[in-house]
Amino acid sequence: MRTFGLIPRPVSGVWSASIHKDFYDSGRQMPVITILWSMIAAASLTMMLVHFIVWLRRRDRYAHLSFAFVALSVTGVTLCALGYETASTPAEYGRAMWMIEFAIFAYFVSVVVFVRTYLKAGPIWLGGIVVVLRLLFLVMNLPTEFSINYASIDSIEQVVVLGEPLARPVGTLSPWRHFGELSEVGLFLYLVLATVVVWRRGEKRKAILISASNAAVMLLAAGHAALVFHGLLPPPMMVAPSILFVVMAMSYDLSSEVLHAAELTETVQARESQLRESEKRMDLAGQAAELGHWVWDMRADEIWATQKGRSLYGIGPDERVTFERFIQTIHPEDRDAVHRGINDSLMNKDDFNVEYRVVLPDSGTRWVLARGRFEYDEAGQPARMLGVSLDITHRRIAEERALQIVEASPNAIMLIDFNGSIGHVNSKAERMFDRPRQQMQGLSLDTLIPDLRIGADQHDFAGRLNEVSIRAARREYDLNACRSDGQSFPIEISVSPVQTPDGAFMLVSVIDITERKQAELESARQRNELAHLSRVTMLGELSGSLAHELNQPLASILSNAQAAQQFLAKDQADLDEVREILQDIVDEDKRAGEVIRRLRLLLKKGEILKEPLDINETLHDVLRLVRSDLINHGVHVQLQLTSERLEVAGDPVQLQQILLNLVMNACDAMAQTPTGQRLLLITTERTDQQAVHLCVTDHGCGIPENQLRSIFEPFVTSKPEGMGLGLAVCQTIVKMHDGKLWATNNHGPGATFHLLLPAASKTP
Amino acid sequence: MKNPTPMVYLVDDEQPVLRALSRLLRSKGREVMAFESAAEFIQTHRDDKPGCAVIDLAMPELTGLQLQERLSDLGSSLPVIFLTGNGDIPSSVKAMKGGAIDFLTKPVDGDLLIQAIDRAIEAHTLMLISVAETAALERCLSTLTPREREVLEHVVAGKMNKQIAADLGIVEKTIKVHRSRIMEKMQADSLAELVRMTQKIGIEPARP
Repeated sequence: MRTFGLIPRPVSGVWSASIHKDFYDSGRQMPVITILWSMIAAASLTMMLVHFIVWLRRRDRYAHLSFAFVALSVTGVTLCALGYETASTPAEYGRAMWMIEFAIFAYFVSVVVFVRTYLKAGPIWLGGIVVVLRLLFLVMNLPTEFSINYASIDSIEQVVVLGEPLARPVGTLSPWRHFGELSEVGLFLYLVLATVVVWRRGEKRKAILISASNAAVMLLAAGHAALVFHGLLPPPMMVAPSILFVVMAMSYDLSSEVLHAAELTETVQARESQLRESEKRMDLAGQAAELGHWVWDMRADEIWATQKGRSLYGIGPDERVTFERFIQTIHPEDRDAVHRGINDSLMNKDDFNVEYRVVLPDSGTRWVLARGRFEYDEAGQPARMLGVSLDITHRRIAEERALQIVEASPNAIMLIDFNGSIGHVNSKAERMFDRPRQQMQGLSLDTLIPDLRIGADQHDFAGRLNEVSIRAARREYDLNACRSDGQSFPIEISVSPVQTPDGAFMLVSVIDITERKQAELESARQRNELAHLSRVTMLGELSGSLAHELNQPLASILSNAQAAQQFLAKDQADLDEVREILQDIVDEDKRAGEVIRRLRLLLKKGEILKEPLDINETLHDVLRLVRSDLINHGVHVQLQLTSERLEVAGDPVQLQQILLNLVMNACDAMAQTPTGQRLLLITTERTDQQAVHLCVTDHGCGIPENQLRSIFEPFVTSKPEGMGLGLAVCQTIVKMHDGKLWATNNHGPGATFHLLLPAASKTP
Repeated sequence: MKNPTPMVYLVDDEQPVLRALSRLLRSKGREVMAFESAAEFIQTHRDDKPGCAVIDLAMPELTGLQLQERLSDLGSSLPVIFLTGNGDIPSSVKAMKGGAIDFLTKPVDGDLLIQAIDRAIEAHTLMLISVAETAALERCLSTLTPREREVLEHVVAGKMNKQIAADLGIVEKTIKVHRSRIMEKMQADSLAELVRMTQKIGIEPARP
């Protein structure tokens, strides 16, 4: 127990040296109360230091500062209490008692402040009153000798408690002490009220630890002190330990706060590092995806962005970005769009989705797609927008290129939605339909192409469009479009579906085929001319027959007429004979007329007809025409024809042309054949596939194998004076009748020409 | 000889033409026989009476030209006139070379045709007469004895009786007798006529 020699001995008279000497002399009896009270003071001081240091570190935590004052005051109170408890003389006691009032005042003030700032409870007006009262009490205490509580102290009784002699004053109490009690009551009320408020607030623990405990302890300590005061109980007064208890309680609470704060700090740090980590990750992801992430804090007018985000807008890595700064990066022409986008997003509670140009500091431009979403606070007001931005320059360039291609196309290109209304059109379409594109957009396609209105299903526009385009391509009918002045022109269209970011559309390509149609007409006309020319040439070669066909009836008519003249010259004319003669004349004339009519038909260059013709009849007509030539060539004709009526659909003149050509060729082929063997065989039959097969077989010189195909080509001929067009023209005619013409050599001498024509269908 | 009515033979494969031509010729008082087929005509026609054939060139089976050949093969004397609907030069040349009297194109004027027919018939008639004459002379000639025959040759050579007697070794008187008998049998009136007759039947005068 030698350590007690280390207890500090103040030079002032607070502690009496003699007591300690006695104490030592009394045989190692520990001054328990002194030790305890010293410990209390030390503890209190320690806590003060601790919390003071905390305050130094966290200047905003005033609770710690005010608590430090509380602890300090408690130290003071404890030391003073120790002083008077161990006083041996009234002067010592009185001194200590006098000094404690300072400490108690400090305690009162610091408790009021502490409760007010830390608990944010306790009516300020009451706190103020309490402080003022205690201040007054202190002021009144100043001039006293034995403190304001005592009018006088006569002597000090010594009571041994726990082996230590403690002082009990004997004297007269001052009535002014009631003033002090009043302030104590006030503080008590203050604390109680604070407790109630805090308790109601739900911070029950705080309420108990700080204000309730304080109040309760006050009550008890005061009560106990009073009893000791009046000698009913032995000293010491338990003020010090009890307020230490309060201080400890308060400290505990504060420490929890400190711990809590430390924990929070740790959590915050952890979160911050997590945040940095995720920011880094986002940065990387953003870099990889070329995405810039950003958060626009609207209330703070600050935009945070990843590195990628910043570089996307040409903003430096450490620059502070306000909304205005952000707008500056945007191309002036696009700023309106951005503002509108933001407004729309706010009004419709939609996502923000705008494409705009960003002007980079090195005066380059890039296209950016920005998408963002608003976050709202508890009041429903927009607080932040989070979003991403993407460099879409490449896409825009590709789009522009695609648009350029569409614009440059020589065909009219239109995008149509599935209801038939026109979306985008290119400039060729504008020129073709003679309307500016603004006028066309939104119109229904069938305004421009009325043929699309024909069709059963009015709702399935796409189906109708597709069907029409296919049927027009198959030449089943001609499709026409309308210009703005109502003028119609022929078109060809093709349709294909496309998927665009705005949805599915149909891409319709329109070609004005007016010129092509004219060219086709011209070509058909020229073919017709050629056929006519060939026909006329051929008929020219038939002049023998033609002359003969006409001369026969003419000869009859002349002879008949001259005979009639003779008869009538006689006195008795045989009128019956004359009548017969006249009838014959009429008949022969008609026959001649018929020949001429047929001839004219063959010679004319008329419209191509398509009518059902009996192939046998046509053949007979042709043979009649060339009868004389056949006779002249010494050719004998044999016919093997079907008995039934075989109809083909075609132009009678052109079909006769083919047959004529084949027969004349056969005659020519047999020019060198001995007279009795010039046999021409013509057969007709119906095939299985509803077609007519006609064969012209001669016994002539045949056709060299390697020329069986080439004879149908133009300018291929075996005749010295021939042009070689006859068979070529026949082939063209046959093709136009959807038929086939080919030649084969017979097993014996000669060749056979085959003509295959589709039978005329029953339905017109 | 009697004068039989000349016959005109019409050959054409077309009925209306045949009818018309027949009418025309009949109206001009000619006798007509019409044939549609060449074969039938060959069978039926007679060339010993005056007549002519009017043949259409372009006929099936046997063309006009072929018919002409046939007639010639048969030795027919009937003159041929060709009628044709188409008059091409090669055909007409061939026809004329083959001995046709004429080559006419349809429609033929009635008068032209009649003229041609008359010419043909006249020629035929003359030919027939000539043929008849020659036949008669041949008959007369056959009545001569061989000696008379021999004398005849010398007589038509213009020799004197004396000479003939000397050439043949016969007495002059006998020559005179032969001479008068020849004149009688041959029914010649003068020496000139006799010479003409022998020329006609192709007897060569003797060499001097």
